[in-house]
Amino acid sequence: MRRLLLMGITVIGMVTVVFFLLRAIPGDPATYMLGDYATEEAVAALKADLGLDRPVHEQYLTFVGRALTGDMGNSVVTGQPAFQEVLSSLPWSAALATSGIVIAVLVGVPLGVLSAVRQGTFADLFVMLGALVGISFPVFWVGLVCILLFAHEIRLFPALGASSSEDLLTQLHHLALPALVLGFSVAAYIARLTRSAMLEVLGQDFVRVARAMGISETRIVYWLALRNALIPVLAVIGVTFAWSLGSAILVEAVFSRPGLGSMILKAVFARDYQLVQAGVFVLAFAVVLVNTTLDIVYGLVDPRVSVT
Amino acid sequence: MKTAPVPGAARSRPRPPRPWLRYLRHPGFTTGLVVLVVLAFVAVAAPVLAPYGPTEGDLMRTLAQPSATHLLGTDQYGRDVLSRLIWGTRISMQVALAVVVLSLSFGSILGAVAGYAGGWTERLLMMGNDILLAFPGFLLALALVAARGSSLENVILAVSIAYTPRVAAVMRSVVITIRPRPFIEASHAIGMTSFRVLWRHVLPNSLPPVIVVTTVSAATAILAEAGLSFLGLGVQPPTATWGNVISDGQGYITTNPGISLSAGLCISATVIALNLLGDGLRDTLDPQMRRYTSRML
Amino acid sequence: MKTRTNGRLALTRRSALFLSAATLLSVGLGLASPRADAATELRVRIGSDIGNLDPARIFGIENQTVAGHLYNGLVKYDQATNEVVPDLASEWSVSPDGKRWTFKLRDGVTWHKGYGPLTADDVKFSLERVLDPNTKSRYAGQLEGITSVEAADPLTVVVNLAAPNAGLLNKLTAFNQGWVVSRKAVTEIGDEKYAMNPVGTGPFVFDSWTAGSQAVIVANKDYFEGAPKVDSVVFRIIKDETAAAIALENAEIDIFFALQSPPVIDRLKKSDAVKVLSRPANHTINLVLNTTVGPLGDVRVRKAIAHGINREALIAGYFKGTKGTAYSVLTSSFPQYTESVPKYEYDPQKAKALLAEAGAEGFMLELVSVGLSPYDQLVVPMASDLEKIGLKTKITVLERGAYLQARGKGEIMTCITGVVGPPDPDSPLVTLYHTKSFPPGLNTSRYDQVDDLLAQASAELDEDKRTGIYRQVLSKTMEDVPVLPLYADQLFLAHTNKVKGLVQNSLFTVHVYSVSFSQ
Repeated sequence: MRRLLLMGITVIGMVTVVFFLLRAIPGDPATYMLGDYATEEAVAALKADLGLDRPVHEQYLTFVGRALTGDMGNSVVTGQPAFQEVLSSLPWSAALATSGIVIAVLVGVPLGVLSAVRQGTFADLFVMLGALVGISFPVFWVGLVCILLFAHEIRLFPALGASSSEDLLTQLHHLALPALVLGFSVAAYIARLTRSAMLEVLGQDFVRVARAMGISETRIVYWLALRNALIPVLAVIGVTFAWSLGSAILVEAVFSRPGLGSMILKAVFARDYQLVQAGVFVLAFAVVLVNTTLDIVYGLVDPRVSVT
Repeated sequence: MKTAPVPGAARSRPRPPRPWLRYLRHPGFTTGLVVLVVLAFVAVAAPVLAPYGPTEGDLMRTLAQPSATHLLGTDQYGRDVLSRLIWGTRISMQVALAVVVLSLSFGSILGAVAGYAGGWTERLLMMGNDILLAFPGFLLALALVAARGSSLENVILAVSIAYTPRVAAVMRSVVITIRPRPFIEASHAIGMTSFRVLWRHVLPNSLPPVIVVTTVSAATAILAEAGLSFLGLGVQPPTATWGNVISDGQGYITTNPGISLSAGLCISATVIALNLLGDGLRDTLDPQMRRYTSRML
Repeated sequence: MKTRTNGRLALTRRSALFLSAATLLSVGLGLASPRADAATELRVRIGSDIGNLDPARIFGIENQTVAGHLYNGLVKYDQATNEVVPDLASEWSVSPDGKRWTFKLRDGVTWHKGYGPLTADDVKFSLERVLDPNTKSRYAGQLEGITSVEAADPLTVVVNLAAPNAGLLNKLTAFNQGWVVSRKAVTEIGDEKYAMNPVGTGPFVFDSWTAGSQAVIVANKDYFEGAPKVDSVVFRIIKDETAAAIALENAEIDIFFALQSPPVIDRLKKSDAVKVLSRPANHTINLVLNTTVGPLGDVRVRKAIAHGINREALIAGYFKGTKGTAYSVLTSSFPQYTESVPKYEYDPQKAKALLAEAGAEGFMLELVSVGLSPYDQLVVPMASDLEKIGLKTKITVLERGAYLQARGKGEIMTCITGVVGPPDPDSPLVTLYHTKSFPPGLNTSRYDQVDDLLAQASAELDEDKRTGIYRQVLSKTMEDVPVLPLYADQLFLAHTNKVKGLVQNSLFTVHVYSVSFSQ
């Protein structure tokens, strides 16, 4: 219950941030947003719609009220409700982010554990150097190089991150390269964070007690340590999620893939600020939703945390 | 990469007399430091080092492959790629430095005040901070640049605002750990004001983890600048920045891959150096402190 | 999250291996999948998003390309020969005094999406809508001189002119203001929403638009000249030309529209899997200088800029010879083309001297471009040339919407633009030089010296004399250089071998009605 309340407050807070994003535009946002053929009436209408003609506190209350009922205004370009536009491109991004994270977890967690258990060996060095490279290369650059390698040199994957085809396998084929690029850059983070979480647990008293009791090392690592490291690892996944959504924007751009990132970018260039607001809000909301879910999962995994 | 010290032992270990010597024995740290010193030198000495001006182009020599006169070849405007990378070092260093200064000062103050004050102040500040943290940092920077227009100042400002909450969160965790320590209580007991305690004891003691955070934010700032430039929202062309060079070379990646590839390598090398430096520092930190910093992205 | 992580998950090395293998397998799955492309979906690359398909307000080659498939005009240009041929009007006649044009419409043409049959009233509505000052159409200037439009009967349209106009048919061809809209559709849908909910009579029906990603049109089975040979066309937005080229070679797209990058052209020409088409365009790409802003009002300053930009190097170095030299804004595809106009060779010394004479050394010149390749790239070497003659420069790259807004206000100092359109001399000349083309319109140099000559040309029915007057316009405008032609555009288009029957036009659009697939 408390968690839900907290989430509610967070959502209102996010709406507040989004509200001020629009006001960060220098000058008159309405004039800025409307295009070439904007008539005086159209500017006035948009101003009224945005509430720019009223005092700030009033604008704010209206904005929050509307946002909570799912009304983030209309796209200036298409005239469609901004929320609806965002929701229509959401599945594309969800597919990319989910497959990216799944790849990242499947690769990053085992490698992180391996590296912690084999601390100081070549395997550890190798994994950690790989992870260092993974977090240091700009994800869009890795994408470009991958297009060059896998779509141009060896024609293994398509250069475009999406197909207009309805066929699921074709879609997956197009998704593979962007998902791998995103997945590996996120995997690097997860591996690093998992390693340090594991090391921390391995250094704790109960592990030393277990060792002293003569319990086999394999049992200690895989039963005791990993079990206890799961919570920090879950937290890691939560933290990485927000980060990977940021990277997903760049990945979508490199692979000409539709999605929230492409939509926000297009809206930015078209000065369709209502759409930018809605897009930013939905992405942040996704982060909160995932993190809250993970928080609840902790409670299930770890009896020490109670969900009240 | 060096292995972490045996965790159990670290907790009770007294501070060694000369920590810097110890850092220097850390291979990763040293490598990172050397690379960064070289980069700083390149940034300062760009006018002397660069064979050509950053925007000086010769349309009769466009898209030249690497040669003795143009070590990394030329771009589509006949500009020397190497010179642009050298000049670009300046912008990247400038962005990294400015973002670090801004996000670190605001983030530390916010985090320190919250962590130290406790109670409602802390709860309110941290709730606000958590809300900002929910926004993917790059997205927030992008939206801010979009609203304010893309210029060097706005890029710096946007990235700083986007990453300040991350610094604040680390700082607060650190301060909370320090707060209950005996010397703080003692200071209060001898009648020092809260501000003085914060300034004289809490801040200096939280410096090591904050320096680690610094390296991470500098790395993030460089990546964010490159990302924004790539999307056409960074420092405007023809200014030479690493991100702009990647984006200029993108259209020629099959014929002149060197343009984008070399700029990408510059970015990666810098970020690797910063991360090595950060990892080196982190390895020598108090394990509890290490935990806070290791969660930061 | 697909992976369920719980306390019991015990990772052994073997299971870790298994997991990695599973990942690779799941990713690799796509590889084995058959390419199940719908055989009759044609995929066309466009470089930037569409945004307005309303003929009165349309701008930009991507919008014009999509709209070209949806609408018809009274007449149209033959894609290959640029000859004016019947479209919605099956025949037409002119009164002896040249002021009354009568068009007979085809019978049985129907609007898309159930908006009923096409009538003369729709044509009247379309033309009047462009002429109505409240519409603020950029193309109102093109229809100037039309005093009234009558719907004599459901299939007869009469256009009345104030004075004879030799070029009228060019203005009524299926392009921009010439595209006919439905009165019922525009009124019911509403002006604003109509922009992205177009209703036409053309071979394709507008289906959907995903902002930033793609637009889909589907075949109009009832099209009066027969249903198209493909079921649907997807216009995919792929900004980067290299990615688009790779996609074309991998047959992820079928047609590569607006091919510009010289290395990409070079590469595709060498590829066996694709064909590259090329044709001189009807337009030049120009630097428009706003004569109402500061030193640009001085002709010596404009001449200095003309001498200061190395246009030969731009064509040879940046474009690798894929573009031609422009002597005026009319290209060699126009019968009125001439090279005997004032020319401006690259001469930085002369440029400096002219600037000194005008006392305008070192002023700040803002170079504004729309954020599209190659225009946003051209400004870079131009700026560096201009700095060499002692000017300060600032490059501003704007997204299309913002760019149009800036031009609409008319305060923009310079801009890079080309008037893409039919081989009608009035199209570039009126658009760029006539005072009626601003506001609203694209005469953002605010030039006002050739209105009389242009009026004479359109009233002159003798073809040779008319050509003479147009040449006078060219001389005069090149003497005053409010608009500096940078290069004559050459159009490139590439398609896979599977695509048959594609005809490249000189309008800088692509039209796929004639296209069929062969395996």
